[in-house]
Amino acid sequence: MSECSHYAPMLTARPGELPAEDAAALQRHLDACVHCRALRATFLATEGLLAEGLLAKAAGRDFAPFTDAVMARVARRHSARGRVFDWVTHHRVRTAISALVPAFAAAALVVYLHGPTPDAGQGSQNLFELTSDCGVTTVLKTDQGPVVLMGDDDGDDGT
Amino acid sequence: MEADDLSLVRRARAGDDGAFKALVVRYQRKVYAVALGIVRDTDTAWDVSQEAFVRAHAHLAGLEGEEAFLKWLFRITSHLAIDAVRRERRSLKDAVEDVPEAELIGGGEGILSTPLGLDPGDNALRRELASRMTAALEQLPEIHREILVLRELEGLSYEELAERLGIQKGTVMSRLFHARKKMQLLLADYAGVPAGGAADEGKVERSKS
Amino acid sequence: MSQHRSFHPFRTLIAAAALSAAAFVPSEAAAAEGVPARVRVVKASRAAPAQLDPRLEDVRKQISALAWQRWELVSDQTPTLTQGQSTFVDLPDGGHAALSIVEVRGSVVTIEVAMAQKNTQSRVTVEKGQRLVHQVAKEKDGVALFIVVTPWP
Repeated sequence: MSECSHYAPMLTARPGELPAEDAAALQRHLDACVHCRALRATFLATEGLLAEGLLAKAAGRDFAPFTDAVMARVARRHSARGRVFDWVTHHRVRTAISALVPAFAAAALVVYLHGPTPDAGQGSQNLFELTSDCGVTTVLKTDQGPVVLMGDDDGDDGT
Repeated sequence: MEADDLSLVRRARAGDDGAFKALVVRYQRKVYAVALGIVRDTDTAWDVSQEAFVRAHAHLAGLEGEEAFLKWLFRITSHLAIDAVRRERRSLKDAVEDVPEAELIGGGEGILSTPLGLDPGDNALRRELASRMTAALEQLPEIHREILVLRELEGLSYEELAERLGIQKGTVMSRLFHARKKMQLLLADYAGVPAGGAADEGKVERSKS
Repeated sequence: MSQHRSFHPFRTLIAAAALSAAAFVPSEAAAAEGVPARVRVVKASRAAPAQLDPRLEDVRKQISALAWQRWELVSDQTPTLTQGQSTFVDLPDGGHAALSIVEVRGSVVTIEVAMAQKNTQSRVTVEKGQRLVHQVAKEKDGVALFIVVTPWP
């Protein structure tokens, strides 16, 4: 790799971004290389202009409806999330085994137990299938942790 | 006296929608600019920037300590913008590691700084060049747009870029170089300079002003 | 599938393992401590060529048995998961997953993953050093979504 190729990625480093040794080596190279000096000058001369250009484009757009649109989205999101949070809060006070009546009657509650750790050194994977009223969910137990796969009936949007 | 970000964030966390709206109004254009630089399409940028604020609202509690609101908001924005682009793209990202020798030579020397003689006081020239650069940005590959926008608008350091993009610092530096070089080549037309090709040392065609 | 609002008893098969019922009683007395976690949203595809995002290298072995062969990191965050409060993770399909802690016992944590739009939730126990890989969107056009939760990263 020529020297220019080596130093090219360093040309627009800001103060402190290069280790002192590299910064010194870069400066020595720039002192000796007219091409890299010119290239660096070009880059530095145009720094900041891209930001100016994009901000100018943004300034040219009408943002009058923006805030209201954001708040409308916030309101929609909040109403969707309320259902999940309500269920989680309700569920907290009961055991996982007991049957519950969350707002989502079609919910599939799958409970997994942490089994004994497989023998060290032997990568093992144990496959389980757990069945609920709403389908079969697959759990792959590995040394690195469980992998939970949705069943064919899981994930329907309920509409 | 205008409230600072911290007090607005605290009030917004407590449920003050007016405070959150003030943050939206304060940063909507900057957020849009970041999104636009990455996704290119104005409608997508509009959507991404709105969604960024929505997510910020949802996760205000996750804004830790004294982390600057804008920096955090920019991070959400760039993630959403990058996601939006990747949903649409078909080709894999380039893995940029080395800097080919030929790329260093093409374009001549100082095609922008010397012929245009950028005078910080020449606002019209700056505006025109800024506009050209924005247009040229749209022609760059996604990974180069991303890194330039994050570097130039958000001002991220090499380390921050590496962390944000999940790449090594060396790759950040190479990728930035490639991005800037491509930008320069795209702007060569504007400067009336032949883009690419072997260097003819010291001899560069200048545009007539 | 018709929606019902009435009570439904669940039929659940318990995996053969040392059953520790206490581990699955959400204990009010359990420390409401936060558990720092790394949460990654991953897009998995059956399309060739096989490729693993380098930022998912640590999950390679865990997902090696699965049919999807292209794994792409969509988002990466490090929230602190807490008991009784959901941490929402946005998914690229517009949905979101809600994560919370059921119980912490030393270096073992039970995590609840709920997806409101899909009416599913699950509770999974992992040890420090392990990761939970959980599918959060059904496969569509050969692409599925997962979250990877690493407690105490």
